[in-house]
Amino acid sequence: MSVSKDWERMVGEQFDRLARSDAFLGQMGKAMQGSFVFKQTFDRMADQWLRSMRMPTAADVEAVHRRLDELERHLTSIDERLDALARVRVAAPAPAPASKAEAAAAPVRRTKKAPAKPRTPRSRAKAADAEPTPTE
Amino acid sequence: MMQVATAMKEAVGRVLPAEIRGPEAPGGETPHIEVARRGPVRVLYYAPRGEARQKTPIVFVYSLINRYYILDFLPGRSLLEALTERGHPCYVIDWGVAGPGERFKTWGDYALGYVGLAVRTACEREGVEQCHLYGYCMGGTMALSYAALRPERIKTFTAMAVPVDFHDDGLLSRWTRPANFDPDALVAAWGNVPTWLMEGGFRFLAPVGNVTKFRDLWKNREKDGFVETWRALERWSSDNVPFPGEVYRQYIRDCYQTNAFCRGEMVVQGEHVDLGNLKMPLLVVLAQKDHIVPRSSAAALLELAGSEEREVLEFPTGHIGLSTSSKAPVKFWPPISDWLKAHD
Repeated sequence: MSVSKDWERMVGEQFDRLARSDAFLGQMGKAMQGSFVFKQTFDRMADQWLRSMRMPTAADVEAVHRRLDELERHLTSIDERLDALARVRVAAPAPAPASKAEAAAAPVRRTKKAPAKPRTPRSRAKAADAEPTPTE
Repeated sequence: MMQVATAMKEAVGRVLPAEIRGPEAPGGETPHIEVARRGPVRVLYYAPRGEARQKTPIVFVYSLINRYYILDFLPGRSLLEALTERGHPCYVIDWGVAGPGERFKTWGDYALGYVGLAVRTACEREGVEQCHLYGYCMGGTMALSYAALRPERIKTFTAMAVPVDFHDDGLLSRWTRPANFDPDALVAAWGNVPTWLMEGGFRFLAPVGNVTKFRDLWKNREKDGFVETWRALERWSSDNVPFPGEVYRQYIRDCYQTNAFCRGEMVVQGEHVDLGNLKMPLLVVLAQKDHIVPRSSAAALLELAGSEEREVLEFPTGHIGLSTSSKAPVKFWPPISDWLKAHD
């Protein structure tokens, strides 16, 4: 038992020393860099070939993804602003008119009442509790 | 290459005795529902059970490297199960599997966009103004960005083994130094970081353990629950997902190479992240034997955060042990829950 533990510790220390050594890290870095250059060269060739066939390339698809990301960022900022507005409204409810006369003097707003939306139950959490649907 | 690896894994699986191989390893079994989704990212809800329901929901942000269900490891040994039984409504971000659509998503898209989505969803569903934000591992680093920039929705912050000081003595810090590693080249070549690359790196962190774990399995095969736990851990640790390319590039450059959080230079979508902005009560959970996030890296938050109330819980376990150890349901999680309840 103790021989096995000693062996574990010794080999572990050797590996750790190797993994931290400049020589190992330098060689590993060079090997990885080489593989990245190879992959990029290969991808460029594939792109050129696809372009010559007038087919969409990875770069074209990536451009679409970038545009979608911009839109999503915009949506997030709208979400955040709506959330902030909603919190401000909850914190400070609109003041009631001071008197009946004041209320009568106020301009009449004629707006069409929107049809009532189906209400989500206030205690949505509880509604969800009732029927948990495992998704994994 | 991947096909060969899969075929080899299957061949080894066939050789293993049936009691070891068994059916599909369990995990992630606590009942939950999906309450929000954006692309592959989902927000999952785990309803409270048992004790009196707590008012403030907990929003969990886990790492982008592995899957969220380590938080729901095994029945009877699940952080989510334990917290829901203590009455906490829990919301968890499942990052899903990053595909080509996630290649250009930024740290800000994740930290502000998706974490924000989960926080807003939790608060809105529970009818409360604020939630407890609970970050684990690298997910906690992202959650810190959110909490520092949008503190109004956060009641407390729990940082469980969250790396903050990246210039530590750990192997990951050493491997990612600019002289040896160029994340720009990696992402330019591969886009999202492939799972085999991430998995290989993590396996090399504890190379001896990759061999001795089989010895331990054989020695303990008769012990009650050992094989089940072993298989569940294997299943989870080999269920890696690609790391979104641009987020990875920013994570390595800003965190590992520049140590931007500690230097006060972290910028997310044009906004400067100042950890001094964290004024909410802070709970830092540390693992003494953590070989992924060294203790000093996680403890650095205590110095940088602006919170007046800071508490530390330290446990004699490893990084993953915080959410999988057999001691966790008895010794680790109850004090965490008690602290959260005290701030409900």
